[in-house]
Amino acid sequence: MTIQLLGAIFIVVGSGLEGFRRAYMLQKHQRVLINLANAFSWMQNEIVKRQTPILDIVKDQQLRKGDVELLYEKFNHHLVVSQFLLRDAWIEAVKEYGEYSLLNQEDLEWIERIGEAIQQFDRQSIDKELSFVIDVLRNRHHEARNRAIQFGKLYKTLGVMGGVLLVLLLS
Amino acid sequence: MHPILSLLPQSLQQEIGSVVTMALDGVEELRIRIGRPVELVMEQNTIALTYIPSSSDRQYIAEKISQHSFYSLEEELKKGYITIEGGHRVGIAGKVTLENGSVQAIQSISSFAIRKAAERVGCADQFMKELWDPRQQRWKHCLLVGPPKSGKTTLLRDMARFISSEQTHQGIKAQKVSIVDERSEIAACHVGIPQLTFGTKIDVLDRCPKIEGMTMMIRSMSPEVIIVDEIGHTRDIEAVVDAIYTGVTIIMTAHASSMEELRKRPLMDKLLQSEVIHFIECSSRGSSLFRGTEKVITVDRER
Repeated sequence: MTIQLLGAIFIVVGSGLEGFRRAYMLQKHQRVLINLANAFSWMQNEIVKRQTPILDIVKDQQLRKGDVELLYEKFNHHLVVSQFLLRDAWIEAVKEYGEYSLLNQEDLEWIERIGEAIQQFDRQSIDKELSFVIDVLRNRHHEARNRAIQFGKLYKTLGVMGGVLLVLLLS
Repeated sequence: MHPILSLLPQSLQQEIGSVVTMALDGVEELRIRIGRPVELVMEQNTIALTYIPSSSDRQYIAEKISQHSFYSLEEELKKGYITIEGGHRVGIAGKVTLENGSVQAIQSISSFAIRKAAERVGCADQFMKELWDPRQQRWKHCLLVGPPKSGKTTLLRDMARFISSEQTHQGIKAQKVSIVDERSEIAACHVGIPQLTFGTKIDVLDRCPKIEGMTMMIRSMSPEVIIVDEIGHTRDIEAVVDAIYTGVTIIMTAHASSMEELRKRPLMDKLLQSEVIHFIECSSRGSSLFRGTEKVITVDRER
């Protein structure tokens, strides 16, 4: 009887945790998107308004914690150590970052376009390209946030209830 | 390897290395045009390579000269060229963007002209003893004249080096030299720091208009000698004469094919009637120092 009770608790907790994990991933996904959009927006301002050299921007961005830091760390590595050109260094950094990130393939493809934007020779072109990508990322963040609100609670409830249902079916 | 080569793609470096030494001896300029053969401009002739640069080569060179931030050079590029580390100059041509009718930036690059910094340390030495006044312990004013590419600026730069360094064997102490470098040609500054050989007592006002620059230097740096390039307009000459009245020695250049041509210009009257009596006439063959109309010394140009 005790073993059965422990097994039931284990199933409910396990299933509940999976629900919470999925809800957390939705929440994290939207947070990563907005953090990156903000970082790119800051980079855009530095380039367009202050003409800050890219290596200085990268150094500053590496001081931010979390996903932004990781992406710019990899970018800096490819730019300075591997001696890649801007676009190649950025694309390589995004690919490596994608392996550790919660972002999906479509998000990563949009982020890769930042590499195209920053390799332009004049600020006007950089501004135009970056604005476009940042707008898309912000839209994707809105969708991700709505999804997190819409499905976050659902996943949590489904996780716990699914566990309970499984216990009932097994008993 | 010459620092200019490090700005170029490896395949181009190799082709240049097969034609000239990796130290780029004898090369004055590299002409890189997208879709056209690369040219090496030598002192006497031009060598065309078989290498045809592509748009990815353009991206490579642009990123190397700007440390991946070409947009940050917009202000410098409005003057047509940028000065890189080592004092070398990179001229750029391509499609420009305009704002209110004036050039704002270069949107797309079609050509690079990389000009090796022309420094000939010691080329002014023979003239300097004639320009030193041992009695007053000061340098005499001097005007260098000559057509473009006759070596005026190279000579002027070496005079600045000589004056700002201690000349122990001649018993001349280093003097405070202020260079007003309107086009970054004399001192070849990169981020405000002179890249070429000078003495210890050198101050440079980089990319500053001559007239304002001379006044600023006199007020702030108490120079003993002011070096200034390409005097031509009435206001430039007035500013030079005003500076002479403050007791500073002025060494300057002016475009003219010869001394005779310069003397015919009414604009120069004021300058020629002032304390300036020493002139150096520069040409592709060499340079001659005149005291008034009397030729004092001639130095052939080294090849």
